[in-house]
Amino acid sequence: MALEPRTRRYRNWYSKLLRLYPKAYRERFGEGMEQTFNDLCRERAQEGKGLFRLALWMFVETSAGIIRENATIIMRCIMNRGSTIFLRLVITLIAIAALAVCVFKLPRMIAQEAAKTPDTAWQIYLFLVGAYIQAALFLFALYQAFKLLSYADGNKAFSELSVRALRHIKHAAITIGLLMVAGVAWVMILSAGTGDDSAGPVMIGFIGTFASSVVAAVAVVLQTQVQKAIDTKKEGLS
Amino acid sequence: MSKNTPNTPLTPAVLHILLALSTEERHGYGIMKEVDADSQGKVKMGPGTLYGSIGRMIEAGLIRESDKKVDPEMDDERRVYYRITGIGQKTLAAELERYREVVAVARRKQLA
Repeated sequence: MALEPRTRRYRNWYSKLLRLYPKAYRERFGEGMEQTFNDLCRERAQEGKGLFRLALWMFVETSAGIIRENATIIMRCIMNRGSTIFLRLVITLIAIAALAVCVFKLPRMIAQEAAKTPDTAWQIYLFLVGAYIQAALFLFALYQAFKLLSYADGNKAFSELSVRALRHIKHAAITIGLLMVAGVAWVMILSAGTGDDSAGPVMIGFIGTFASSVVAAVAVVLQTQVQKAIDTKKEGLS
Repeated sequence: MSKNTPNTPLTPAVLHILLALSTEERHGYGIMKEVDADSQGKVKMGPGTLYGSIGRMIEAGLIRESDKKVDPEMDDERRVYYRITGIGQKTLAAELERYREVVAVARRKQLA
């Protein structure tokens, strides 16, 4: 069959994608999901239709499932009090690392870049401003995550306070993502003018955009789950 | 988390999986085909939604894993089959009753 190598490639990618599921889930359903994916591909091939759209749809659909299942795990971690200490430690370390980059690394890097092209140094400084806004939003989101954990410790995980913290995280992540997109667009326009190689910064921008989209998506899922739990509790009381 | 009590409306995915499993036990792909046929292609469910729902339904006791066996109509790979439980049947019946009531109300209001 002419489709065979491509089908095999899709299968390969799909089984790689499934690795992003939480371990317990993957061990339980991974094989079945892969079989189902293969069955659908085969059915499609037998009908003589193209695989690309089906495969793309299943990749997107499964990615949504991956975010949902991981969010559920995070939720359980939060509800399980013992593990919040570890999560707090991780958040604190990330915050310290981010602060260190902002204070020591960024200004030096920017100064070096600006020294290379003194005429257009203002563009570089504009980047610095953008980076600091993003860093501030990032630290704000971390602070909200920290607060979320303290709500969980105080048995207030399912409260309007948590919903508000999650909403803040969502907004921060979306804003960071948008700034990244704006930055990437700007770098591309600038480098188109000068002919510089901009692959590095553009790649970082894309990864950053992707990461902040994932964070925003997880926050949305958690927010709806917490809201649902609150609503169910209210119904139970009324 | 959210327990599926007979009074709460089911999500479309859960309802269709229960319907697909109400007549016989099926594997993942079999469930998808049945849901597709039941809904005349209107409900499209990918592996992510399907297995996510299956996981939650097993937790809620609506369905359970049956044997792992070869489907004679397909290749010789062994597949996990799923079957509906007593709670699942009751939940499905309660949901269908709820639909019947909704339709009855709509009829009374001459909407249907």
